[in-house]
Amino acid sequence: MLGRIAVFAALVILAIIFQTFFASLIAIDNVMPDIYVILVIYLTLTQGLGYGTVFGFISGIIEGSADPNLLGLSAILKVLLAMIVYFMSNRVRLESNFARVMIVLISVAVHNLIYFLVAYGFDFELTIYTSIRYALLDAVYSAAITVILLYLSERKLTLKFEA
Amino acid sequence: MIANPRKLFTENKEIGLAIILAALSFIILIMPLSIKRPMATYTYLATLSPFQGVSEKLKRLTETHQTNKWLRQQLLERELEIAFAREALEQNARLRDSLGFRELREYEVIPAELEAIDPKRRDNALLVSVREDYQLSPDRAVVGLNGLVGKTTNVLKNTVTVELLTSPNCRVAARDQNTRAMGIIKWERGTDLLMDNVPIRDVVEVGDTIISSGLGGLFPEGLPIGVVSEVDIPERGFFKNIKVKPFVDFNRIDEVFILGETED
Repeated sequence: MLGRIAVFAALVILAIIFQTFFASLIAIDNVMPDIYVILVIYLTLTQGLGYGTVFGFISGIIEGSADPNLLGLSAILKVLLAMIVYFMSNRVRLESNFARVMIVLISVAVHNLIYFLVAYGFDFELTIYTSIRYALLDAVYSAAITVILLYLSERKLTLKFEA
Repeated sequence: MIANPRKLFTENKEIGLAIILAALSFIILIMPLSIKRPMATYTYLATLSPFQGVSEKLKRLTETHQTNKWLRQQLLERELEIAFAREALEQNARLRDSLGFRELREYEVIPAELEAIDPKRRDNALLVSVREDYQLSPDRAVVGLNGLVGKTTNVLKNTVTVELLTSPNCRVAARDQNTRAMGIIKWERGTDLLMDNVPIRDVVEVGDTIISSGLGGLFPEGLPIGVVSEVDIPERGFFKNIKVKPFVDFNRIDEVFILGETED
């Protein structure tokens, strides 16, 4: 149990380090992947809903701490994201690569859209503009990386939680 | 699957955990800001802040590196410009020599720091200090980064009194850089200087740069003084009334340079 918590804590710290230092380095025209979202989906699909939701909650609280007004929003969206991915993956045959890509893409896009909608006080015009400019492209970028991670995990390059 | 929530909750612990975490997140989201603010602050300080601090420092380091690179390039360009200017100066000296012109004097630039404002003449004199190994004398031109400041008067060890252009005792033989019209720069009233003794027939226009002509013997030729702000042609009289806005802000002087003559 302690080993699992340690691996989980290390994963959270690595995610913060990646998002803080490296996400901007691999940004394409200010569009950057969201490592927290990527890991929520990856953990949900490979380790189960429990890991996905706990990671989503912790990373959401950490991410939201930068803006006290939105504290909790990122956490609830990531927990819901994990649940949506979990239920969709149960209903769709994930052997299909296309289905896998679509699940990840739609989940990340909906997550980003709802985040901006609430963050901008339900200002639809601003949300649509930001979504077209960043959120949807971020979703595409994050989804692409998630699919690569899932592909690698199938090749036994996965994280081991049974430490 | 979702039809019976109790069954779902009891049979599948993971879904139960997810629902609890979602509810907890929602409670945090709707909490009053007075509770959320300290929570967010502590979380931020314990998690994101150390990494973002390092990230900011790295970013600044990268920016400093870029600026340093740019400044090195600028330095190289300026050094090249100076090399070309030196070459032009030498060519100019050779040409002047072949035409039989007198030699241009060279000046030693002595840095001086503002020490005090002369208490007796607050608007028109400063006390500056220089290193003791410089040999100084009165009646030397004093310049700032933007142009002519004034001249030295009293020299006491390493403290020098500088009479500013705003002093009635400081007059400079000057000329219009464009039209070469000549006159005398002096202070009359207000913040602007007056360019006197410019005949009505001479052309001086607003916006022209006024420089020292070097004809007075005290100030070297070509020191920038100011820009023409107003030209008035009186109905009676022989000279134009020309107002010159000085390049130097006499209320914000920090460092000045005294032009001492070189021994050779």
